[in-house]
Amino acid sequence: MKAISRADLLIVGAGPAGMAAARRALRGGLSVVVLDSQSQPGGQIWRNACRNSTSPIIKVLGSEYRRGIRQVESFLACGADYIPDAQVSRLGQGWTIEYVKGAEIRTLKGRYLLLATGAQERPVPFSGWTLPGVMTVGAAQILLKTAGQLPQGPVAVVGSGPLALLYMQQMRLAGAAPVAYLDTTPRGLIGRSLRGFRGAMQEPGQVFKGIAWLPQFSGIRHVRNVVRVSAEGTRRVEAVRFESSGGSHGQLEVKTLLVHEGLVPSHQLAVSVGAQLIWDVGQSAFRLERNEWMNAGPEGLYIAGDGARIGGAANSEIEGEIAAIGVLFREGALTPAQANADTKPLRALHARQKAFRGFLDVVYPPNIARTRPDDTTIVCRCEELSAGELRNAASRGACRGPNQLKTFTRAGMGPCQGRQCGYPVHELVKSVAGLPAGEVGLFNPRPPFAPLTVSILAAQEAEEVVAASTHE
Amino acid sequence: MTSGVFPSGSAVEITVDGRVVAACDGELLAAVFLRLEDIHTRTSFPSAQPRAPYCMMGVCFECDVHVENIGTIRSCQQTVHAGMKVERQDYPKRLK
Repeated sequence: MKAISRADLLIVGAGPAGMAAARRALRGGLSVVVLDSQSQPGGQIWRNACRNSTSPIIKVLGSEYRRGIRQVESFLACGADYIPDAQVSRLGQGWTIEYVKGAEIRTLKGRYLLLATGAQERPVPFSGWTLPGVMTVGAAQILLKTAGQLPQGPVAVVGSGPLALLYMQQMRLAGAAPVAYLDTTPRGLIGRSLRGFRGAMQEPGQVFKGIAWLPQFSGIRHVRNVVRVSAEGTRRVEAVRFESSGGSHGQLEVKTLLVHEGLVPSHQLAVSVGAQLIWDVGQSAFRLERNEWMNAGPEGLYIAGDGARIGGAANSEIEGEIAAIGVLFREGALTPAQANADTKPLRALHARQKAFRGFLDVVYPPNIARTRPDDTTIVCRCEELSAGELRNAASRGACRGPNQLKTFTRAGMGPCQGRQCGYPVHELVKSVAGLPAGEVGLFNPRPPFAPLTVSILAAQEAEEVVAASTHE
Repeated sequence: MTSGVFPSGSAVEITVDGRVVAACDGELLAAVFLRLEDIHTRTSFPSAQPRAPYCMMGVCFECDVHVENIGTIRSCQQTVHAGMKVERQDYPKRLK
């Protein structure tokens, strides 16, 4: 039987939060293992940073990405046991990680578990969003960072928020601007910007950078106040139709339609071991409850970064460091006075980041993602369930939550395990049942969280049987 | 056609449904599909509609393909190597 590796602190995710936590925990004398699903550290934001550091693409990716190269290099030099290409399949209390690497399941044990699982893009259902050629903006950006590749043009971008603006800027620098930006930012942008002014002033540099990315300065065709879109085509997207809040319509021929309306936490692993979801009104999404040391409730369970609440890379690094100090404090490696002194400057920075995020949340709320989809629009991509079918089932069954609707319809039971339809189904049940968000909730996450073959599972069971019989 | 603006890795050949396709060693398999004329990777289970890479970070499962000696995988989580034999997951082909 294979040996089970042990460490003081297990970290899932080698993005900004996980890397910062690992560095701080090691400095405090803990043994640390960091698992990551990618082949290189950096998370999605600093994806492929090491390899890109010597490529001409670096000019396109921007200053925040260049900062990431240094962070990744310092993580790789910090002495943490780093396991790339590892996909967590299951977590156990106390704490155990089962993960898939290659063609086998391996197990890790640790006294502390820090989840730094990051975010995914908020799903935005609209008519035709399952057609080939409709992708997320984040997907296109990963394509750029990993393959130096732009999607097939002509490209239109629909949505709102900093990532959409940044990616259009990167496309322009790479020499292929999109044909249009179909901006779904709701009316009243200037009013909201003024309301969020105090938050904006926490990070004036970021605001000026963002202003420079605005479509007004890029020469990209900018369609404002878009409230409806649909992708048209048979074997792939061929055109995008759009409608603005003033009632004007338009259509563009495209080969790729990129969509983005912000991020939501990748909460599944944390919820599976007892972390609590709370509806966050400002983010129109669930966050995970934590105390001031990033402890999520159960003894030894910590969460840092966008996996708990969307805050961005700099915020994630701060939270990762606070979590590591929290673990060191709990472990007795730091006195309360030392832990408080070490976190004091971090807490000040954290408050600034939170205020700045509040500004972004106010300025760029999700729009189409929270609009009632047409009856024919597919909501659950895997099972091809339309909004009409799901609303009927929800109202006939008097559904009070997504899990009930799942048993009636199979929504969320396909290969993506509800990662795409989770929020859309939440919105749908909420609107049908007329219940508050916190009461409706999300799908219960169920392991395995990574795809497993029967042969991998069978091999694992054989090992356990062997272990049990040697025990007798 | 797509622009490989900053191609990385040495040129290799793989096959997709038996047809030879140019790729870069070590790039994501999904990126190869996104350069093809027909970018679809699988068809949907209920009604056999074409699907293609959507999220590129492993959370949509639209880019599932079958790779010889590996199995059915998300092509956005799989790197390319020379001689890789890839098949689209087209309905009603049985899942392997």
